[in-house]
Amino acid sequence: MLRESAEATRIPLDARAITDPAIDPLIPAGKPLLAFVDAALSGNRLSEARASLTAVLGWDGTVAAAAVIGNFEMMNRVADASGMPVSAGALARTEEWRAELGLDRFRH
Amino acid sequence: MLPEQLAEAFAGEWQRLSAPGATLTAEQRLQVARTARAAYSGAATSTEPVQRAAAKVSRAPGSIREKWVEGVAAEIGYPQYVEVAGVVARLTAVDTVHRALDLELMALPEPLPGQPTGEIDDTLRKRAGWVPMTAPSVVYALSIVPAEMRAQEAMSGPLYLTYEEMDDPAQPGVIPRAQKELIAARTSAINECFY
Repeated sequence: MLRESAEATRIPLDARAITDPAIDPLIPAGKPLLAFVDAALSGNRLSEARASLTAVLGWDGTVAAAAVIGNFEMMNRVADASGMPVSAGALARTEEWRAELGLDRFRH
Repeated sequence: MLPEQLAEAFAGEWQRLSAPGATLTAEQRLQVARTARAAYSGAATSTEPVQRAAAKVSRAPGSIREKWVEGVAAEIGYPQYVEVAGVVARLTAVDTVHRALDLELMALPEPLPGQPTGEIDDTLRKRAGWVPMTAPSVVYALSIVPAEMRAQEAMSGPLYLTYEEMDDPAQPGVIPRAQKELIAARTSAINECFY
């Protein structure tokens, strides 16, 4: 959905940033967003990451970002606990991208 | 501090947590939540199967394998395992938002009296996933316990997008869809979850 939404909204994207912190995702506020995710899940430098993101997106944007992190913490647990399979169609659609980002090392 | 829609969603989840579920009493659901929080913070937890499942889904979901699920289900049944997974997953969402925003965690509610509802879809059989489900989709992953599936949907909208909104890659919001998907992708990558 990341690539589809970037294309649909004509927002630039370098998806390699998802797995390589050295790369700028190009999406507006992308770097502080990724830093906030990392900090929220690790607890490291969270105050700093939250302040940086709030300076760019405001408090409402930071809350929205935290909510998305929460949602995927939930969905990842549901997927992992249930062994939910990825559909053949989704695998076919994402083959190139999975190879580019090294996502096939994750169980599916 | 939290927007109204999110605060209402969390209040709704606390109501569900405080009430009997399909296979667990309210007190048992709250014990699952206590165990999940303890496991998240690295504390030792009970080896009793319900609590063992709660701890693993909370702290190490990426290490869950089919054989382990089969072992737990042999002790407590797939519906109860699914109920535990649902309770822990949604509690994790609520707690994650609070931690990320430096807000105090919500105190767990008091349990309501009553027996488990027994609302289980016992027509389902295990096929594509590791638990019986209606269809191979995260939307239906908890469908053997319909209340857990509904609770997940009730949380998804306020946190991210409703299931209907997910079909629109340009869905507007407080932050643009592409930013939401960047967050989603990074969160899943850190969790080593293919989803």
